[in-house]
Amino acid sequence: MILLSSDKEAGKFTFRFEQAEREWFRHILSLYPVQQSALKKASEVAGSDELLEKALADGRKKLRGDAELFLKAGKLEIDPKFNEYWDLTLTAVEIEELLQILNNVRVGLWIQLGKPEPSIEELLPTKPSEEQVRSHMIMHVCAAWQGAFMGAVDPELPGATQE
Amino acid sequence: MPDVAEPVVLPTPDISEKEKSREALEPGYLVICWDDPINTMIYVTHVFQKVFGWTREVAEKRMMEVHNNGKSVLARESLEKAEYYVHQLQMYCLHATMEKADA
Repeated sequence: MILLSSDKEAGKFTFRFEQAEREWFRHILSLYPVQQSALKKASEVAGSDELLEKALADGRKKLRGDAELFLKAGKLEIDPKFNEYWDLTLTAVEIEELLQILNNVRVGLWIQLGKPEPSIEELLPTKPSEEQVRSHMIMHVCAAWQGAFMGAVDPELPGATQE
Repeated sequence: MPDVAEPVVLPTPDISEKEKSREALEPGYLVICWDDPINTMIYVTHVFQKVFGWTREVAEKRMMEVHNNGKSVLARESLEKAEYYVHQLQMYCLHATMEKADA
């Protein structure tokens, strides 16, 4: 995925996905939400935790609807060299939503994998299962795209993927 | 017998309810962000900028506090505001909690 163009004043950013990336994008959005509850109880204050959980559930429901819209949006381009591109224009608000969606999938898969520590032994087990391999690949793609989206809205962000 | 207006009896103010309302507005709750091995530092910095409106420099400093100390108290707010911040941070899947501040 690359940043094709950006109009910061209008708050619009156009990204180009190749065909395989579009399939990845479709698959990742279809997984959302993976993380369904907080890592830890948010509050010991009576009533707060329940309220927060409900607000989060409502927020995830809204993002689920937005994920469907993202998949339907965009323009398919056919390159003369028989390459198929998918151009997707997003607003800054939509990029924030995508960041939340990508991170939910990433963190949720990490939890499902048993919250591995960032050591090579846990990240690369000797005999990984198919599920572990698939989950790690998706987590890696999500992290890469998070960097690309953050870099698009703030090119000076250290470490963010540049155009 | 002539009509006599019934005396108006005002309800006795519920002191406990008034105290609860005042308490809800006082900045007596801490918003805490905890370190974890999954959220990237650049992402956490970005989220802090978005949720709290901090500059990148401030957001990075607070992110490093989380990273180095295992957690950081990001804000001290009223109950309602603290809940709002925790909700926002958790929507970004950060490990955020709130607790009552010591007096």
